[in-house]
Amino acid sequence: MKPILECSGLSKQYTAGYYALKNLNLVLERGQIIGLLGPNGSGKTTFIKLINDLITPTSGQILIDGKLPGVDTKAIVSYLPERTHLDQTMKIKDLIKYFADFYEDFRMERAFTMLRDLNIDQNARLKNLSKGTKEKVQLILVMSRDAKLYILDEPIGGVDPAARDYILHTILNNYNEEATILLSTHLIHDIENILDQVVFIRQGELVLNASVDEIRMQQGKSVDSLFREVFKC
Amino acid sequence: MLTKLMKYDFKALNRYLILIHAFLLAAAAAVRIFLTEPLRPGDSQSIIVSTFGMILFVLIAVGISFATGLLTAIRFYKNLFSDEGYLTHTLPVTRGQHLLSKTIAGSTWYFLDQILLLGSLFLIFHAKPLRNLFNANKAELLKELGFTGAYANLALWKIILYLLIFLLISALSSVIMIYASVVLGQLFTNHRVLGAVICYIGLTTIMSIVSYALLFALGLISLKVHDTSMSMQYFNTVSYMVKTLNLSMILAAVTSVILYVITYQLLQTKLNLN
Amino acid sequence: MPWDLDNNRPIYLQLMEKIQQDIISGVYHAGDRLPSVRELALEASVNPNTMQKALSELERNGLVHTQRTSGRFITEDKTMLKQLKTELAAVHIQDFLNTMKQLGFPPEEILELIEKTIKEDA
Repeated sequence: MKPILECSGLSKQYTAGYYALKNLNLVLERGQIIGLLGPNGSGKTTFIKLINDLITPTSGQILIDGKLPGVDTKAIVSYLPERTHLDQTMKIKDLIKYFADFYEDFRMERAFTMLRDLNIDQNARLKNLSKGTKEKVQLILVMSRDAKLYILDEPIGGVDPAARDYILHTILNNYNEEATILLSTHLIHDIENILDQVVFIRQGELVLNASVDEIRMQQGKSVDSLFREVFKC
Repeated sequence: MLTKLMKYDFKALNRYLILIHAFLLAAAAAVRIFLTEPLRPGDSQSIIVSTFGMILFVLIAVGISFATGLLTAIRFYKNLFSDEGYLTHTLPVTRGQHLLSKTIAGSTWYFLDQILLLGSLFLIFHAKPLRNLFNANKAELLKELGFTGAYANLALWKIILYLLIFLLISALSSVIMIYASVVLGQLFTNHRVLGAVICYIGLTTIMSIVSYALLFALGLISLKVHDTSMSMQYFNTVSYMVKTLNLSMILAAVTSVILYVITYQLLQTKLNLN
Repeated sequence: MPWDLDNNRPIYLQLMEKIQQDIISGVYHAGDRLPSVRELALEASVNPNTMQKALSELERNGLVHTQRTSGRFITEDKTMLKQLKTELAAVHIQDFLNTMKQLGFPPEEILELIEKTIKEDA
């Protein structure tokens, strides 16, 4: 099957001389869980914004399921940004209806089940919940879609270890061979074992693209250790 | 998709706007019941109280109109350019649809606001004492205002229709001007809200200058402090109003189209969420 | 609870070892049906692709075999299982001996300590 994401010569320039992303060539296959790793300011967020059609490339191109970013790709990409991107005045059940309204691939029962599992009241307004609970709700909404590409930006950052386990469990549970999950995070140690591939980005350029087992066999160390080496300050 | 967007845009605006406009109508009812209905022509005290009441009402009405514009601007900004933008812009919907949906919702409410305002003024002035006054002097009043010649015996429904069209175009143009200001404000990377306010002031100022220039060019206003030539002529208020409103409508329509296109283009190419 | 995995070694190898251990220790008996790849991956908190790789390797070794529609089964070959048990024991013993030697124990003392500990344990 065709790769879910292909970018060739992808670059994004902001001001003269400053490239947030420089000549990125990357192919992501289906049915993979991929870690997008790099320090702050490395270009990860720029890359994610380009996939989601939130900014346009300066040069090169990016194709999702063979198409340029637009209405069709947005229908198959499920994005979890790092920030709270939902209307906080809304009740959770209204947010679920909102998602169901706009996304054909949204599965309401799945969302309600996950809310029950985590003891979150569907009648609560988002603004009255704790930060950790808000993040869980956002994740539930994103994972309740049957998307082809999930982009999770720091999904386990602000949550307690038990919730973290649940989130990773949810990610694995929703896995299917047709979908790809792109995970961007700093907590490499916690998620190494669920990744197929890792992609290291530094200063807008691709530094490494390998499978987790390859790294462990060839380098004899964990991805976390390798990351610390590669990105030593 | 467009109808879904409109459903949520209206929902967001309805929340506050229905409330404040209900308050507007309640205030109008209060003025009618306590001030204008019990008005006696010779009673100078009640006239003074009523005048103050009217001034208060006008302030409330102006405040509510301002709030309508402000809430429309806030909804536009919040939904498209704050953190919520990360959700809005990743919906499987084109930017054009987003803009159209918000333009329709915003101008509908702007239009409603003006209609309700006129409705409440009618409610206030439809009091018996004022009606009696009007009917007693109707013919002379209409003549003085200028409902003669072409405007004689003008059917009420025609006047109302003309006003509605004017208000509709004016609502659209006001809302589009607000949206254009917000989008232009986005170009000031670090001062987006301030930029929007400055652009709004700028755009409205330019509009004012252009309309004055056109009014002057068409001889509808004069630069002389006291133009004796004009006062010698018979001055027809209605005719003057119609000419001015027509000019205003044309200007509004043209600016709306230009600004809408600019807003659309900027949305497509210059989106840069923080 | 996720399986206890060492981040410095390839995951699939560790998964193989864990499953082999489960087989030997009697969690799975000869001829038993293994849970699906998904279920095992969820239990271990690992990527299903990696679990798939581990199971494929076990299949290559003959420890596990697939029956097309019914899933994966442990081999019925008792000899192979016995051999695996012995091999695993050998690895642990060798590791133990290496550690003891590093600590400076001569072979006779190692044997004594083992017998003593086993008696106390009984």
